[in-house]
Amino acid sequence: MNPLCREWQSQIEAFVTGTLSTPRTDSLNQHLNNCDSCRKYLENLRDDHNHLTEFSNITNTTISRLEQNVLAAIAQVPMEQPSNTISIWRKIMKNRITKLATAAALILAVFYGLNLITWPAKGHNTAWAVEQTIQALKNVDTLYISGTINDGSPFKFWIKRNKEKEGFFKLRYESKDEVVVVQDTKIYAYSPQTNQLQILDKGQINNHWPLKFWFIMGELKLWTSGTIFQKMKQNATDWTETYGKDETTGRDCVFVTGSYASMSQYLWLEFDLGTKLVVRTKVWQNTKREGMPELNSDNFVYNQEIPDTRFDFEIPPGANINAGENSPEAKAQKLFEEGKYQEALLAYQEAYKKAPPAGMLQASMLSNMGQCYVSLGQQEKAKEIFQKAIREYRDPEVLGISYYNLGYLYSDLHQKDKALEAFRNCIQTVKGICGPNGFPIKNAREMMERLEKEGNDYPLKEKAMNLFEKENYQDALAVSLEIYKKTANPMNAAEALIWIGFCYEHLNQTEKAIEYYEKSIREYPQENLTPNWFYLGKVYQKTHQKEKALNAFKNCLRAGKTLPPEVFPLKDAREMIKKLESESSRP
Amino acid sequence: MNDRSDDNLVADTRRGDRAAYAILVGRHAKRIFAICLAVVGNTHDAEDIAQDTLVKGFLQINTLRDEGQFAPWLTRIARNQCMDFLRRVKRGENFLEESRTKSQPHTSEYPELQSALRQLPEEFRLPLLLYYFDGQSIKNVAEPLNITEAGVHTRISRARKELRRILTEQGDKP
Repeated sequence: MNPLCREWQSQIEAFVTGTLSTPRTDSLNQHLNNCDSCRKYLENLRDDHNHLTEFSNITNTTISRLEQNVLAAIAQVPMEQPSNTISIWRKIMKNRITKLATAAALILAVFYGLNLITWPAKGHNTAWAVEQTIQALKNVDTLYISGTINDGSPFKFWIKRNKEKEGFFKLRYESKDEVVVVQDTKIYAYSPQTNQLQILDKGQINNHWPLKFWFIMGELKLWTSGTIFQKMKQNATDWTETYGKDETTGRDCVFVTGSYASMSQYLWLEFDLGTKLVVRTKVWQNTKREGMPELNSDNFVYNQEIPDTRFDFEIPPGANINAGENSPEAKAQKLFEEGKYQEALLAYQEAYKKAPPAGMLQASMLSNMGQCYVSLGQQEKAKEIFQKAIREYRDPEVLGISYYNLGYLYSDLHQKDKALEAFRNCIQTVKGICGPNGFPIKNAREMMERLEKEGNDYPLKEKAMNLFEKENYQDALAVSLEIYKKTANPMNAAEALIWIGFCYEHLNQTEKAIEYYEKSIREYPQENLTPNWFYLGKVYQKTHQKEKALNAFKNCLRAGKTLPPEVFPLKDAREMIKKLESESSRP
Repeated sequence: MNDRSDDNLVADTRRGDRAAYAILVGRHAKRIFAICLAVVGNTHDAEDIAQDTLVKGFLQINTLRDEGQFAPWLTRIARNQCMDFLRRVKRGENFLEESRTKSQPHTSEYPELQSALRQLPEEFRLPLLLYYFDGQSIKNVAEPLNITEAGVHTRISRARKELRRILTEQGDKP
């Protein structure tokens, strides 16, 4: 082939794959008319292209068989619950308002059905199974419940399914402490004692656990999937299903009970064996069923006509209205999610001061302050905060999470032994209150495994880090090369390649630096590549390869598109792009 | 066409919604198969490994930290599965033997091409298969592999040339 035709080859490639522009196609056609070798090249290429395309079409049958096999396989898998559900659930349950709503939640779960779970009754294969209750509930559209709360004062509860919109409902809960009204997407929560009213739309409740709780029920995802009941059963210290007679009607029934050490709760439900519907529920705020139940629901009326006006809410005169998103913790959370860590830190500090002393809210504000410091790169400050939380809060959940945060921080700082100790403490602390796959026990275990796996690399990594701190790049290079050569851990190998590139860059061997940055991107595409692209862009820029630099910075942003925009190196990459683009637009 | 995003589907799968995962399977099976084919070089093993990968994805969905990262996460599982497979094959353990004898007999599709594909270096094979087999655009092949679009063109072009060379040599053999 004529060496001059080499240029046409790439155009022929694009032509065959249909990606060549029309003007270029025209000029290519002209060339093809006069060049035998390029015509031959095109024919060969077309043959290959057709061959491969045909192959891909034939193998479509393989794909549909593959899909069917996968779906058949997962249908056999007993559905394991999401590991974060119980953590969320526990957080919800610990909340002041929602403790009172526990029984209501149970009622809703029963009301809307518990489909998808297999929950056979122990020792009674046919007498009662939850599937029968599900079937019975299909014909239920309204429910009224009344009973008493822990001081013996009454509560009332109405719920009406929205027949037009699946998943939507109207709900009213009234007690002397609280009135909650849900109107499809709007929620009112009023406390008569403080005259505080919270009004929120569904979209605003993300940072607002107590209110989100009602909507989790409303959306029914936890409940209709049955995961909440699976959790109840799995996390119960004891779980019983006992057949007997209803104490007032004498009808056959099944009593289902479970106790929960982590929430200090005991749940009790009674199902009628004739109708298969729930007829009573009780919730104690202790695991031994001592004293009055927190909620005792003993009057269930199904399918009674409930007028829509029952769910109207009139704002009480003089009520102090809070739109929820203005609460200090919600504001702080929003700032954190936006990556504005400095502002979030100040907001968390404010929320910390306002939270009731020594409570869960205050502890979680402290923990979030620590996370802000981590994100701001102030590790020492973060460490102080996590240690303060460990010293000041004895609640095992707070302690466990604080140990986990501390362990994570130490592992970031490559202080392996301290990290392992913190993770061990975390596991030890939450062992009794968290299942093996719940947060933070599972995460701590995984981190420990990771650190152990890193074991052999660890001394070398620490050595390299020390050399970097002393800006001794020559020795750091030797150590980094050694890590790359020896490690069996892809994450460490990818990191070592960046370090090698970084050393070469600081030793002014830019070509070598580029070689290693590119190598890290090529060989470890599964790792977080934002720093790799960023450093590569910087070297290109240093060596005046503007186009390549621009491309690398753009790839950096692409690789980090799921990360907060303010984190390193995304912000820097954006600035570099701006700078390079403004330079190239100058005359 | 289902327009729910991957992260929504992952979240729903985590809540126990198998139907959500079925959509994810439909969306990613071809790509995962292409990756497995690229690494192990034959459709039989690639199909088995892709199946293992997709089932593993379902079983381990709770270990995925970022719901938005489902595709790269699944790719990583596929690659690891392939590497495990190759290691075991290297050690002489044909661990798929049992499952193969149990499954339906496959018809051999384009054996020469498969054999040629097996001989291609992975850096060429993967873009080639993602482009031809998964029907991805050049841009979409470039992104997850972190190479430029021009790089994809080059690799596909080299892969085709290399394939042609191998196929020609195979044809020349008696």
